[in-house]
Amino acid sequence: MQKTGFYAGMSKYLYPLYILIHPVDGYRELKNNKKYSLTAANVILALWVLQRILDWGSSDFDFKSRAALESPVNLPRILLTTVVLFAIACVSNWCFCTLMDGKGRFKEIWTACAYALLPYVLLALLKVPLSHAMVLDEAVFLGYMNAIGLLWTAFLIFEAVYVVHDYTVPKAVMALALTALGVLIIAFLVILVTGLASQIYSFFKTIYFEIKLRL
Amino acid sequence: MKKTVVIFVLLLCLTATASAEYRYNGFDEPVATADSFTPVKSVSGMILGIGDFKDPADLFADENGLVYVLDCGNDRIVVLNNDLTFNSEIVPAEFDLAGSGGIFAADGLIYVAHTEDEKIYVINTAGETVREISRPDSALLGNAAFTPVKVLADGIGTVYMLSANSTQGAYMIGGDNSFLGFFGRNDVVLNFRRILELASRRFASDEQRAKMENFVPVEFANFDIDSEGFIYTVTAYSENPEQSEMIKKLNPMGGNVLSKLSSRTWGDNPVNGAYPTSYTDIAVDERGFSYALDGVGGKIFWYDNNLSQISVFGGSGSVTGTFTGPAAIETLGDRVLVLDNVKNSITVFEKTRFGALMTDGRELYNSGRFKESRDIFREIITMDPDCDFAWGALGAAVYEDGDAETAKEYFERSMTASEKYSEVKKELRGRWMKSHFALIFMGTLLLALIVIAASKLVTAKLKEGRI
Repeated sequence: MQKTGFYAGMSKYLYPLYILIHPVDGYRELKNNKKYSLTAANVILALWVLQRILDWGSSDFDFKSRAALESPVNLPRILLTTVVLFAIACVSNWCFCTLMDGKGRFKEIWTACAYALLPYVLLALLKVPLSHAMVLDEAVFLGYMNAIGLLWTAFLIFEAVYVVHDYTVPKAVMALALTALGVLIIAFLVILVTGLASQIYSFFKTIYFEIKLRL
Repeated sequence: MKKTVVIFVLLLCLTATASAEYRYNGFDEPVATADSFTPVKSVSGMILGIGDFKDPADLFADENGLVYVLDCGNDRIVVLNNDLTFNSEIVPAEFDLAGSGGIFAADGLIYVAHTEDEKIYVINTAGETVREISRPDSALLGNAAFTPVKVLADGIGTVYMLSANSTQGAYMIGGDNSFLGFFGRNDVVLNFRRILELASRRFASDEQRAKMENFVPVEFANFDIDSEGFIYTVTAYSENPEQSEMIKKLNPMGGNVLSKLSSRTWGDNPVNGAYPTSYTDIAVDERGFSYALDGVGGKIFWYDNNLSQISVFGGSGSVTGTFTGPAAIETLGDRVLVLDNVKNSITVFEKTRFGALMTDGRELYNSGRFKESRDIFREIITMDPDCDFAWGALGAAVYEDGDAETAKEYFERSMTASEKYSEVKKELRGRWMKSHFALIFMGTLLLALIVIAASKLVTAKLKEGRI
């Protein structure tokens, strides 16, 4: 295996931390030397879910959303807006990029994008204890923190798609736009299929009860 | 069998129409609350033994506790005692009351706004006309209409009048029947559509311009004057109840003393599927609490002396306490009178214990006497456990007492007092930091040392490629 750079010997489990501060080199290394770990990626996703649960349940009163004030932690909703959304986005990206001569495999897309979430997740996790120390006057700092995390993550996602698929910059932008479109299409299809399935289910259920009651 | 069904259906109708009082919570959603007012009786002409009211137009309660009913169809003014028993009947000698719209009484004089005659008559209790105000000859008046609908007079002899077909606000008339000017007109709400239309007007020809819609302010539906001389006006229609001035409290200069910056929703919140509120009258009691009557749904919106909404009661229907033709509202001490010109009766609401507590509590709270209001709000919470205003007031009281921890808890219970909660949190944080200064200082130092040491260690290990 080819070893380049100062951190070349770094464990692949800690590699997301390297990508965090050296995105350009880091992703190139990830692609060329297969320095990706599904475990590390899934840990980051788990952290994301944990962050949402903590935010819902343990943020201080003045920083809580209305839903969090009125109802206990809604795990299905949290999963749907984190892990499920992420999976759909990855599938969508894989679908479009395969058509657009992308070089990335699904596992690469999954791990690279999960690594890209790290700055957002870490800063958001920090927000939970900070909400107990800060007051509403200082909410703007938390807002900045959130914005920095989001921008950083956005840049990392772009870098991930750009490197993993070996694209040019315009093509990477195009791929991201199509991915977003793909997420909408998949969401639409999922809703359509569940709607139809529930109708078919109720149709057969009606027939079953009809027969059962007549016999 | 059939009879029981009929009775059952009747009972069902009764329970369905009997309205329940509600209030808006901090998220602007209607929620049920305990009753502050309860309808105790309905007074009609027949009950009084003087023959039914016919087209009663207005109602007025004067400072002596006498109630005047403008009974247009019978050409009489019915005067009722404070306990709503019959006192006397005034028949004006020189004009016919049919076609009049509003009544006001002060210092033994009765003011009648006569819409058809386009005059304001001032009569004494014997029915003799002592003063007659007709259209003043004034350049200030211009070509504005002069068709009096409602009338009132202030303590220094100025008569205020609302005219039909006029968007200029109230008309001020001096002691010598001269026109003093217009008073407190509504503003035109400038929205995006109107800005576009104003812009397009610049490029239109004169003919096109003549066909375009004119933007005129919404006219006042009614008004009332409080003991301090502030005039409260209501408006029947509004495009946007949040921004508009459906209820205004005007100072003697005609300026609205309610801040435009604080967002207020007058009437029902249309987001929740309620029909738009259309105010027809307002009454202010001696303590400055006001009651605005919805002319369509018969709802009564109760506001405190800061004009923040307390609760909504009444409703549309035929049961006592609901209305089919709500026309006018007045207060008589702690009682509220509503005139219905379809049922031809006056409904009397009495304040319940909850309503009385709410009044006392809000009055104390609004004048900043939080501690004194504490016991009252404690009791309110036993009757309406989710009352966010009460929890916020309790928090303020406890905080004034120096118990910041409990105050924080109470503000949290109020669900919407997050800003006050933050204030208390800031104070507690400051206290904690002062008392734990050494710990914080040493802790930060220690943390910095640990971080430096750890990063050195990690860098060394990374160099060796051992992680």
